[in-house]
Amino acid sequence: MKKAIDTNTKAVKPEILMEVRDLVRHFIGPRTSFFGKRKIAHAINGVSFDLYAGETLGLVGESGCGKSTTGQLILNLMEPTSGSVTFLGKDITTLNKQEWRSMRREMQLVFQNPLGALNPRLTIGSQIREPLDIHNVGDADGRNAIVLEMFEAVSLPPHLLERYPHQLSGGQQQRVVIARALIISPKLVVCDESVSALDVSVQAQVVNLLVDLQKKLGLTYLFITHDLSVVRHISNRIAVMYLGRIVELADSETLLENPLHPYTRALISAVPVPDPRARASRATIKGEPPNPFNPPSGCAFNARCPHADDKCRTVLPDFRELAEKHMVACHHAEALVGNQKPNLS
Amino acid sequence: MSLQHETTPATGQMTPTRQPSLIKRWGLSGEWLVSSALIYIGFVLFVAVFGFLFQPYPHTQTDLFNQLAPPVFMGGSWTNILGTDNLGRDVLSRLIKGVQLSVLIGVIGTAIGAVLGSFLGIVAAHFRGWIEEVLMMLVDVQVSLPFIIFALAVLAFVGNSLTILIIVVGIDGWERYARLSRSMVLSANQKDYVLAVRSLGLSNFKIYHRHVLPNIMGTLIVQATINLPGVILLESTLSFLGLGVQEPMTSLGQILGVGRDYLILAPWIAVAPGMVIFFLTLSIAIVGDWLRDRLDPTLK
Repeated sequence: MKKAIDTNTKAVKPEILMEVRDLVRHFIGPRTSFFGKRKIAHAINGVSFDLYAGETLGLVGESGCGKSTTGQLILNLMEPTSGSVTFLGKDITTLNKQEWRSMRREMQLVFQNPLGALNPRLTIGSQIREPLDIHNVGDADGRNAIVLEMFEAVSLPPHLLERYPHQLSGGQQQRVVIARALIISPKLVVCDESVSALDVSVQAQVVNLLVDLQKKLGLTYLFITHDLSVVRHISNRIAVMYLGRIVELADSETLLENPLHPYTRALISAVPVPDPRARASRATIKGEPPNPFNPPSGCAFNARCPHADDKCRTVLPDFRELAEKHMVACHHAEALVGNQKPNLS
Repeated sequence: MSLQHETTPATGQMTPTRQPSLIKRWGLSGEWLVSSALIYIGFVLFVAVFGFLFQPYPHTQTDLFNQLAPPVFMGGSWTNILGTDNLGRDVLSRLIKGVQLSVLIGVIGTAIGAVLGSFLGIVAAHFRGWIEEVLMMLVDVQVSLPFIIFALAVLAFVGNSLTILIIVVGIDGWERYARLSRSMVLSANQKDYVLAVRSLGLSNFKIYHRHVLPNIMGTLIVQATINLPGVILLESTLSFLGLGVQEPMTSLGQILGVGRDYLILAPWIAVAPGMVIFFLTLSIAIVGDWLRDRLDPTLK
């Protein structure tokens, strides 16, 4: 995979595209007994971050940590329990239908499973065209021209326009999904595990395609994934989530070279390294992530953290700026600065 | 089936060679069972619509000097090809008339059940909450109640007319469509492609019209072909019990009901409509099976 970070960092302007503040989302669990209280799962528990125009923010974490929920919340595909999402100067959680309709053009989602994201009964061409139809862009000929142009931009041969989704390969399907998301020229694209379902070689192609399109169209990505080796190739900054909270947020280089949160360290050292001797120095992570219906007191990571003490078990750590542009939520982060660099090729 | 096709010389006769393109387009080459089922259904529909042109006698015309005359192949005369019944009425004429009414009741009844049930299922899946709970509770009530008892009760209390009969047999099976369409809409609404167009701001109506319904329609149509024989049989059962179609109108089930009393003496009265019902329900089931495969684009 080609390294995209260095070329992109220069293009980043400090202009804030989206401001997410104290986002909370609860899910109500099933009734355990007829008169019993329904339990509440704290899927997202106070997430705050900024998205700068033109950047790629990687959002990583284990499954079930709330990455995808965050993605859906900032696209307003799901109502937050509380908190605000300010996009282009407007709080999108309080928009009415009319305002929302025009706002929707500006943000798009690229899905994990490309086959599931395409209607099996419509041709590729008509599905890519659909966003234009919905938003009444141009006339019929104009739309077809835009579709062809977009199809070329994602490097697919035009004869596939008449095909059905199941007749395409996984990589081609994902290109179609990307084309559909980008055809109405959004400003923000949320990629929810967009390459996780693909082969490694196809992953690289799609990641490169995303990077190229970002440069060409000036897109901002929120790149959600569980795969650190992918995220480092595409992200300017990386946010690490654990059980509904962001535990660390920094520039990609900083975060990968000098992680401060024990969880980030564990994640990084869990990335497979093609060196058999590297195994020995790995920080391992024990146990399962806690149940969001019954989160532990204090720091959510305390049960699995090698540095946990009594403070960690009782007091929730603040999300604070420890170094410049390096946010972390850990009581012991200072002690971990510079201490034992995790092994990452 | 393709193996049988190569060894069965009859295939050539059953599938007209004039339009091989149509046969091929519908994937019918080699499907002799489906082809003959389709031909039989077409024939029954033709009789239902145009049968009155060939009806030898009025279906109510009695001939008391010619009661229980046997059909031609049992030694009868050509005046009554399929014989006569206990009142000397021509069985063939009554059969044509009966097919007409039975097909009418079957088709309209199935349509009522399919539309009503699917609609309620979609409503339940769309609104969720208490609307869904109430509708699904109704479904459970309907499932736990033997429909024939429900139908008997309604017909006994409300009285009997053709309209009421069609509505009653139409209600049969609505709960199956409701359950089916509810669960399919629930899962379709979770599909990413629906989420994608919803996030683009497509209206609910268009989402259902363009993305949800086309994807569940195949299953609903197959369910209808499974249900259609049931509706025809239900009408026959009710008529057989004397609560369905009333004289002077006649249906397949009603002829069967009359024939029951003469099963030993004159079996042709009951056998003729019985054969028609048997082959009709069988053909519809075969065609339904075939349609299920045809309507799935991923199987092409």
